[in-house]
Parts: sequence; C-alpha cells; structure tokens
Amino acid sequence: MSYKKWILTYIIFMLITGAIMGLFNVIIDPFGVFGDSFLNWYAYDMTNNPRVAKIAYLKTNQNYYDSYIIGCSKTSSFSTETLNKYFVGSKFYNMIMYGGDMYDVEKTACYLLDNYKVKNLVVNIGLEESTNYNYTDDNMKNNLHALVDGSSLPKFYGKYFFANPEYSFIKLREYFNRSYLPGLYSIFLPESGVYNKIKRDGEAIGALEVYLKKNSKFHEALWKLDMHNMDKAVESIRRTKVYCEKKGVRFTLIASPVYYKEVQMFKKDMLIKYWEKIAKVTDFWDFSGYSSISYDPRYFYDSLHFRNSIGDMALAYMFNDKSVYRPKDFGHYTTMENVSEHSAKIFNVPSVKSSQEAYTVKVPILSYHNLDKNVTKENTFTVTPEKFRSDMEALKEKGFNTILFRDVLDYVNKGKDLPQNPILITFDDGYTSNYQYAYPILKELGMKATISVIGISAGKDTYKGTNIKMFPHFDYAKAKEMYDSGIIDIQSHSFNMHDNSKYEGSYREGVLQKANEREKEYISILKKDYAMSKETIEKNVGNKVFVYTYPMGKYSVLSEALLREFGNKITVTTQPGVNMIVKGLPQSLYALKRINVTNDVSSDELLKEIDKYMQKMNFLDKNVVKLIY
Amino acid sequence: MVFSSYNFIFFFLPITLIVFCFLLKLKAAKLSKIWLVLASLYFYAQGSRDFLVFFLLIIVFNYLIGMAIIKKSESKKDWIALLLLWIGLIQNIGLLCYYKYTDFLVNNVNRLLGTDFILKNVLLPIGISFFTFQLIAYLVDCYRGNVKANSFLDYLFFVTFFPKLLVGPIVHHEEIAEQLEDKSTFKFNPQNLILGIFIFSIGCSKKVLIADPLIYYAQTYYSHLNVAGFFDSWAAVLSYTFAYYFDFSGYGDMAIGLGLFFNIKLPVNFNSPYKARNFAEFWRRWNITVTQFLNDHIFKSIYGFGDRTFKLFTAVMITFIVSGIWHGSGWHFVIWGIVNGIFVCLSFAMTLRSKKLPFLLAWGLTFIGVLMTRVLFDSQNMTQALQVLSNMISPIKDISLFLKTGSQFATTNMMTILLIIISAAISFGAKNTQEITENFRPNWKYAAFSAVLLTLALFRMSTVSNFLYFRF
Repeated sequence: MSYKKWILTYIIFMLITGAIMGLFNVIIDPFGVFGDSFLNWYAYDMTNNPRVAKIAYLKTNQNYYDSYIIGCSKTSSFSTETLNKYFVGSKFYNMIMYGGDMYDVEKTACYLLDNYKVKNLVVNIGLEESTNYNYTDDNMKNNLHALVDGSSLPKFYGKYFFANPEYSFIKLREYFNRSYLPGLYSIFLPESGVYNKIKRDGEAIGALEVYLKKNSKFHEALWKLDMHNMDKAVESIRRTKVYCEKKGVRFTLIASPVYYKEVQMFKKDMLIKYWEKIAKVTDFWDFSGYSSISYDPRYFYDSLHFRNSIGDMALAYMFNDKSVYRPKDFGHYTTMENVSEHSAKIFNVPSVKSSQEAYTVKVPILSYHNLDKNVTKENTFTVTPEKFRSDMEALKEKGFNTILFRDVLDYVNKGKDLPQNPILITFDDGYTSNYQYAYPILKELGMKATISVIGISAGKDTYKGTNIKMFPHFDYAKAKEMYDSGIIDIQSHSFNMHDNSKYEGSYREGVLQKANEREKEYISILKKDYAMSKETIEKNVGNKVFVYTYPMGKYSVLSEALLREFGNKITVTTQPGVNMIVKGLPQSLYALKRINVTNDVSSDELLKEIDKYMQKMNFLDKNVVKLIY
Repeated sequence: MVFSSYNFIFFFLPITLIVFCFLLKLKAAKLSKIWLVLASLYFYAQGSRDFLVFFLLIIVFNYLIGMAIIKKSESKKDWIALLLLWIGLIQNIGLLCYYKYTDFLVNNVNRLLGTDFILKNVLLPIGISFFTFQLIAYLVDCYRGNVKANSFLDYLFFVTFFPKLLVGPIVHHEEIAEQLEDKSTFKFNPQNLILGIFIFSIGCSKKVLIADPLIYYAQTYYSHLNVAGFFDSWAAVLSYTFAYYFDFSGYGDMAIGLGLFFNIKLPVNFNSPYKARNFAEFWRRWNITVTQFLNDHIFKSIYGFGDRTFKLFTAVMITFIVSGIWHGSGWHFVIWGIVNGIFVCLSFAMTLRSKKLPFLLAWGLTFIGVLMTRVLFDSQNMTQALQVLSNMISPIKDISLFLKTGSQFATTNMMTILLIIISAAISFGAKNTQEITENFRPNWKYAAFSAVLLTLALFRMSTVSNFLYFRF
C-alpha cells in the first residue's frame, strides 16, 4: 500500500467512525436539537439546555401555542394554566430559561414573533437583568439556538453532532433510571415549559422554624451585585415592547416577587433609578421589593425563587380576581407617574414588618375512631360516648370553635378568616357509632366534625372477603343525612387501601408502594382508588371531596405528589402535633398532624395536651422572628 | 497546549508540519530547523507565556557554560571545567528547587520553628522538571566529552523540540545531534509519517479514552474522601494506577509519533511496566529515560562495580529519595521514595542470592507494591494516604451487607469498572505500543485500527460540563 493510499484509508475510516458517533448523538439527542424523535424525552433535553430544546420542541409542536411568557428561572412560577385562565382564550407556553437575561428574552421574543402567530407576550423580570446581559459561560448548555440568535446553523448543528458522546451516554443512563417524580436531570415539563414541581409543591410546610431548618440556605447571605447593564436591559425591554406593538401583539411586563435578601443584593438608589428607567419605557405589574410576602421564606423555594402560589397571587392581582388571597401590600401597577413614589416605598426597608399572626393560624386536629359504651383495655381506639361528650364540652368551655376542612381551605386560598381558636374534629373509617352517638352529641352542642370513610366498608360489618365480624360501618344514606345537617362533612379514607394485616391477604401498608411493585402499576392503583372513593362519596352524599386521610397515617413523597396531581387539596396523617396554616400557602394543608384521642386520657388531660403542642408552636414563632428579621 | 487537544491537532500540528515539509522540499535544512525551534517556543509559550524569556535565558546560559566546559576540558584544565560544571548544576538544581520546593520548605520551617512566613505560591513553569534534567545531562555530557560538534542551532533544537519538551522522554544531546547531522533527516519520509500517525493515534487514545476518565473518577474519589468506603477506594487506587500508565505512556507514544513526523526518533520511555516481576525490573520499564538519568548521575556516582552490598543499598536508597523529591514536594513523596528504594533493594537482595519466586507470586506481589506506592504518590499528605490504605483493608464485618454495597457499587460505576478491566487486560496481557509498532505494515487494518481510535479520542476530547441547572 502506498503511503498516500494508507492516509486516504485512514481518513475514510475516520469519517466512518465520526459519522457513526455523530449519528449516535443525533439519535439519543441529549440537547433535543435534532427533534429527539427516538427517546422523545424533552424533560431531559430542556434541563440540559432550555434555550435550544424549547425552540426545537416548539418546532415539532407547530402552532399549538399562541401566547408566551419569557424570562429567567423565576418565570417558571407563573403556571400556564393560571395564565390561560386569565388571558381568556389563550394557550400559553412558558419560555423560562434558567440564568436568562434580557438578551435571551429579546432574541427569543423576536424569534417567536417572527415565526409564530402570537397573541400575548409576557416578559417577566427579576432584578438581576440589570447586571447580566448576554452572559454565556457554557457553549453547549446556555447558548441560544442558532435560529434565535442568528448564528451559523451548520456550525450550531455541527457542534451537537460532534459533541462528546458522554452527553448521550448520560441521557441513556438517566432514561433507564427515570421515574414519575422528576429526577435531577429531568426537571422540566415539556408541554408547558415550566419546571416540574410535583415534588417541590407537594412538600408539606408549616412552622417557619421547621422550614428554615430544612432549608438552611435561606440564612446564607447573598452576594452583592452592581447594575452595570441597567441601560442595556431597559433598552432591550423597550425594543421588545416596540416589536410587539409593531406586530400587533399584546405586551405585558411583570416584575417578579423577590425574597427580601435578594433586594439587599442591590443598592437602593440604583434600584430606584432602574425602576424609573423601566417606567419610562413601559407601565408594568410590579410585585418586587419589600412586602409581607418578601419577608416570609415559606413563600419561596429558595432565596431566588418564589412559589407557584405566589405566581397565582400575582396574576390574580393583575386581573383583579378577589377570590384569591393576597396581602394588601402585594402588587402595584407602576407607571411613569407613580414610579418615584412607589419605588421609594418598595425598595426602602420597612420600619414595621407585618407580623405572622396576620396570615397564619394554629389549628389542632383531634382524631377519633369508634365509639362504644364498652371499652376494653386492648381497644384504645374506641372511646365511650360519655368520654366523647365530656371532651366536646371541655373544648367548648375552653373557647374552641369547631370548623370544617373547607373553612381551612378558604382561609389558605381565599384569605377568609377563621373563628377564634379554631379546632377540627375528625373521625376515621366511618363507624356506625359515629352516627349513633357522636352525631347527636355534636348536634346538641352545635359543633362540627369530619368523618373520613373507607369506601369499600360502607354499610358493612364483616372484613372484606371474610365472615369475620368487625365494628359496623354506616352506609351512604346515613352519610348523606349527616352531611345535609351541615354538622358533618364526609371525606375520603381511601376506597380500598385500608388493609388490615390480620385478615387481608395481599397486605399493603396503607397507600404505600409495595416493595416489588412497579411504579407505573402503583400509580394507576392509587389513582383508581382515589377516583373511586371520591366519586362514590360525591355521588351518594352530594358534597365535594378534597381531603384525604391516609390509612394508618402512612404516606410518602410520591403519595403526596400524586394526590395533589389527582386534585386533592388536603392530606391528613397521624403524626402528633398542631398545624400552622398559612394564607396563600397550599403546602400548609399537606400532611396535617393530629392529636389522637384515646379512652384513657381524660378531657382535662386532652386540653393540656393540646395546650402543650400550641405552646411549643408559640415558642417556635418567637424564636423564628428573631432568627430571620 | 497538550497534544490531545483540538488546538494542537487541528491548528498547531498541521501548520508546523506543512511548513516543515515545504521547507524540506526547498531543501532548506537549516531553515526547517529554525522553523521547528520557533514552533517549539510558540508551543512552550502556550503553557508558560510569562516564563518564555527566562526559559530562553537559561537555555543560552547553559549553552555558554557547556561551551566553556568543552574548551577547558580540551586544554586539560580539568578543575576549571569541573568548577564550571558545578556552576551549571547549581543554577539548574537551584532553580528547580526554588520553583518546586519553596512553598514546601516555608511550610515545614513554619511548622518546625513556629514562624509565620507567608507562602509564596510560586507558579511552576511547565516542563521545568524535565528540561532541567535535560540540561544537567547536557552539561555532564559536555564534561565527559560526549558532546562533539556543538552548533547553537542544533543545541536549541535539542533543548526545545516540542514533542519531548514538557514531559520527556529525556534525551542526550548526541542522540538528537547525530540525527540532525544525518542528511536523511531532512528528506520527506512517508514511512515515518504514517508510522507517526499510527503511534500518535494509539498514544492519544490511551490518554483520552482510558486515562482521562479514570483520572476523573479517582480525583472525584479523593475530593470526597470523607465518605469513601472499601469498593470505591479500590476502584480509585486501581484507576489511578492504570491511569498514570496510560496517561504517561500515551503521552510518550504521542511524543514518539510526533518525533517521527519530523524524522526524529525519540527513545521509548515505557515498556509494559505492570508486567514486571520485581521492583528493580519495574523501574527499568517505567519512565525509562528518567530512571536512566538518575542511574547515570546519582546511582553510579555512589556505587561502582565491585563495591560492597551495603554501598549498593545505600546508593539505591539515595537515588530513590532524590527521585521522590524530584517527583513532588511533600513528605509523602519522600516516603514514597524510601518505600520504592526498599522494594528495589529487596529485589536486588533476591537476585544476589539467586532466589526466585514463582512467576505469579512475584508478579502479584510487585503489582500490590505498585498499588501501595501509588497511594503514597497520589495523596496530598500522609494522613490522606493512610486513610485510603485503611479504607482498602477495612475488615469485612457483615458479609451480606458487604455484598449488597458491592453490587450497589457495581451498578452505579459500571463504566469505571469496565475501564479498569480493559486497562488491566491491556497492561497485563496485551502488546505495548512498541511491540505493536514492530509489526506495523502499511495495510488497511493498521489504518482502520488507528483511525477509529483517534476519532473516538477526538470525540471525547471536549469537556463535558455538569448540569447548569443546579445553579438555579
């Protein structure tokens, strides 16, 4: 072989190998730039590079969306569902790009306006846009799509074609490890473009100190930023607005809610100047600066990202939806005329911080099961009717007011106030004795309670599939009678997921996934069971089911996320304690704690126990206030 | 600029080579030498720009000393030649010590005397360990009369030739000078070119496909030492052990391949060291030119043929302690040298008594010794080294738990385990690069083999960044 021929052979083999490797990158497509038609896993691609993967995703789903919200990672907390509700008749896509600055926003906006039919364009800014402009530090992961920034397409696709195949290997590995809950590497929901928060939003939150202990980063000081790109950012906002007007598209600018420490990253005077410059360019919806929201970390995922419920609050303010709770100092429509006064107000550290008491309430929940005149020592879950009556009388005397779960729900979502010293009485399982003894006592005393029923046991007095006797359970006719009285609410305790280890064969621990059960199977079982329970109760009783009391109190991160996905609003456990319920924070309704009442505890002792938990909470409160302000 | 980078392969190398070939065509031998010297200096500047001028001054200084030594040796004024040699040696060793050991010394003085001198954080000029040895070898060669014609251009070429500039192999002046005098060196030689491509491809793939990912694994292990256990400790130590060989010998292969592009033959630096059956043999197979250098200049200056055994052992120990210090600053490097010295002495003792262990046992013990010394070498200090070693020999308390963590480890680290197995198979059982090269024929199989390897390496050369999402 001559040397020329040898070198030629060498080059040919290089090309063949290169083509094979490139093809591998195209097929696995870890950045989604080639259409990801094989694995079709944009949740992963968008996590790798949201800028390019979303453009590619929109290309494969041509014209499904007609409205876009664009901005940095904070923007993810504006749910497209809520946007669609308020911008009537629109189909929103959330173009959040983590680390996105106004350069990214403007380029992306122009691309969308040029290539798609657009009705609304919402731009959401934080404060950092005044510092970073056209900032890129990774040429694979936070660059814009060549279609967007107008760079060379062959170079762009070449880069991903010749990318290190390790990117593809990692995607393959994660693909086989993926699960229902978002993994570290698949944090997006491709269909709406937002972060997949089913896990984060399913996390129960109560007392501030507990939350801060779990999320200690809230204590960390943030770095300082200058605002040297202020003018570039403002100019970019102006150009985006003008381009929208030219194209006949409705333009909206929102300034994100921010945690108070983020405001402190900047100099006050500069912030005011920045705000004045923006207002000269456009009016905008302003949720920035110090407010009672900005001082409570529970309203934030971390120091830089407000929660989805705060996003909902902001949108409700913009569309004057009074049915959604929002504090008085939250939200403003900033214009050229009022910007000086308003920015001076919101960027100035307030002298008086709003106290937690204005928007939080401590709610104890008592849990009862069966009532019976004869109580054996072994059966501690049963109490006598006399004991129950004495408990209720004691509570009443102490000034407690019984409420129902819908009151708590309205407190959180709508900000409707609760009576003084609210308390919830709950009964699990749905025993006939509840109807026989408790219902008349409550009626007599003018008190309320919630019974969570096991669907399959309604009207039964033997364990399912056996002839073995159990305490009898009331049927739906009695349930309806009680509900209609307004005294009792009927909620879910599962349809058929309350297995008793003694009598039932294929035993499952409450609603938990079995050891060798496939995740998909488990999810479908829980989903069916929840739907069955909800439908049966709603059909027979005629109420709304939105509370799920976990059988045996067993629950998991997955079950919390799933029930939330199914539309359930409140979950109840058997963990002892009192609950801190927070207005505007649906997470304060998850995994609620209860004080279990047994027959051997006197009514006096019960009051003391409640008081003990309340005092503990008081103590936490005081501590926290010092800790954070 | 490392050889296994896009800049080197797609920019520096093609330009250097094309201009070189063009100058050969013009039959401009001198110009082509000048061109390679300039290219080499540019190559050096890519790594240590600030040090370039200083580097040139050192080169010129050593040349002048070398010339003076040669002149004085000719005129039989031996003591002046010796004095000049020592001036040269002191300059070279002094500089090396300053750059390599200042912080180490300051640290130890502070610790011993309780003083508070501030660490200078001296930046190490790249390649200083190697070119210093090279210059010392040159001066000694001058003194011993092994340097004949001493043209400044040839000398410059010998010192700066980029394929061996940064990490060796260490060559003697005459090895290069003889080739530069040979007219065939400046004729286009297609055999050398394709052989060069072949060897470079193998070397590059050894470094990029095997060494780099193993080093990454081992480094991650060392930075999370507080959570390390039995399996990852073994995996990390094995990773480093193989990675060093594939990295270093891969680099050596690339150097040899690159040398061939310019018709210069460089010496082989590695000869399947992990096949060695005792430590003396290991050191004859590992970083051969450096071992040779230490042998020539330290060992042989202490031990002469026929000396007593005690002197032999002393010579070995001193040689290895110097070797340890040369390899890096830190007490664990000194200990590393001592342990290596003891192992080599042991193997000498065996040979002297004509004792021989069965092959497998000898090889196995040697490799375990290699692993142990690897730990000493790679740790940042003695405490870390001891921690790693104790992780590796932690007793098994609960068999089922042990198996469980083992299988868990295996499933999460499949790639690393696979790489370790492949590297073991290659280092223990396969032919090394020179052995493969001996059978080289310019046929399609060799072209395909090396082309596939280089292409895979090219794909793996770009860095893979972490998920940026974690920052938001």
